[in-house]
Amino acid sequence: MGMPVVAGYGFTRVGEHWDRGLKDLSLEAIEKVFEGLPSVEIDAIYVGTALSGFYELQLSLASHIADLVARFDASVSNFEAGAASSAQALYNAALGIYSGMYKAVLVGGVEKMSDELPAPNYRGVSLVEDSFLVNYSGLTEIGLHALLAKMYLSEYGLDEPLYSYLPVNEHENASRAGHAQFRNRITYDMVRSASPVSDPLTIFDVTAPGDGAAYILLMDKEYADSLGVEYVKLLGMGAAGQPANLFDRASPLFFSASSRAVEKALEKAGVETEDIDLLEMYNPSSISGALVLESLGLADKGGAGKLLERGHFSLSGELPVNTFGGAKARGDPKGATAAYQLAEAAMQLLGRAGDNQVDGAEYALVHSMVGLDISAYAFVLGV
Amino acid sequence: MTEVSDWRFRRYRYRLIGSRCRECGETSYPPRRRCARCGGATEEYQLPRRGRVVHYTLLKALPTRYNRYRPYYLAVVELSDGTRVIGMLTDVDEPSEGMEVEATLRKLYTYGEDGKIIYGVKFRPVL
Repeated sequence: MGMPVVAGYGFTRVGEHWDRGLKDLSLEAIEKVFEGLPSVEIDAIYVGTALSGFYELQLSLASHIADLVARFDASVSNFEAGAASSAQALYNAALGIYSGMYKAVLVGGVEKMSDELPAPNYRGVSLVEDSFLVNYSGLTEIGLHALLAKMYLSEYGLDEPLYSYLPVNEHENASRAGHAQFRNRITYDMVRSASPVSDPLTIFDVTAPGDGAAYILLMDKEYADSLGVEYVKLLGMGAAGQPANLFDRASPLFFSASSRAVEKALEKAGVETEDIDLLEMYNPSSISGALVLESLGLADKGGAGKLLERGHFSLSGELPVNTFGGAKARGDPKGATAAYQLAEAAMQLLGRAGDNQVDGAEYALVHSMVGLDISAYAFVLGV
Repeated sequence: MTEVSDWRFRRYRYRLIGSRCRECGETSYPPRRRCARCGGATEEYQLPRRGRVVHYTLLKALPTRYNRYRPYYLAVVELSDGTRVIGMLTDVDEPSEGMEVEATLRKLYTYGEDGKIIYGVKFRPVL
């Protein structure tokens, strides 16, 4: 059985790259993946994109990425699952390595969101939710998060939306990250007094559209050893799902898919929650971040905000979360987002995180989800 | 969604028809084919038209098709049988939690100026 390791990573800055397309961004990221590596034979190319068919009217993207880098001997596969697109790609690439079929897979994602105006973007990113609700009930992803925030505040009797300390922490971490989209520091009061996008959420509570590409080189450990490259191990992974409709769930405030996916990944890795040194989670809003933390048992129900306010999840806290700013501040180029998370976790474990380094990090947990926890993925990386 | 899928979904759009599990009685809107709670087969179920607003938000981040209503209230409505649904509020200046509402048929969007008009359910204060 093969043992997958992350032997390379590369990404672009997240932002508005008006003059560059899906392929330009992908090429920059892929060239960085191979920088400093000896010649590697790639068995497969797995590419995630949430909306390339929407922004650039380009489908079957993996075929075009293989064409772009002239790797015609590789098998190609496409993954489309919102911000979890490249998490799905990674999950399946790892299966290829575990099976012994593949020695090296180039896996990643790309998105070009600045090509569209806000309204088509809100519709586009919402289409991972039940399309009946999006088209006929007027639901958007942000509206759903706002209603969830209302449920949260009311269920736990909270007066203050302290979960808004999460974007404060994320912007702080991004302020020292060269590849981040938003490097400005913000305060809790700034988040609360910013213009509402869907009350109680303001523009600082939710992610913004961004362009970016991130790729990983996933290799079999033996092959990586034979080439003498540095790597981090993919020790375990897990995936699970739950109903898309919030009211078909046992509790709308419990992300059972995320919880179960992480449980499976930790079990496979033989690692306890307490051993985790940092968490890269996917939260397209502050409230969803609080719910991920609570659903993973890292905060009491209704209590994530207080821990965030105290700095529990900051870089110098008990459990650093989203160490380069997460989706809010590093940026959320949907199809590429999970590949950024993976690359950032690898940087931490390799001691290459610069000013954002979590000292002595040995285990990292990466979490990704489709929409509001309809499907979730988790990966445990270790040195 | 194209005009064809709009047509295919017309019953559920127009009449607030959801589903009810034949095994455990769990209700859902939009309708499900298999119960999320017990996995049982479901049947179509006419949901009650009246309910109350549990939560609401003034949505400014809205999709292209609904730009003409910008901004609008999106609400969680608990129907009189306890089923919770998400829907748009209409004919309301300032909603409130607990406000009594009823389902009403309204214009959702059109395909261009001369194109087909798509109708669906929204919720308005009880008259």
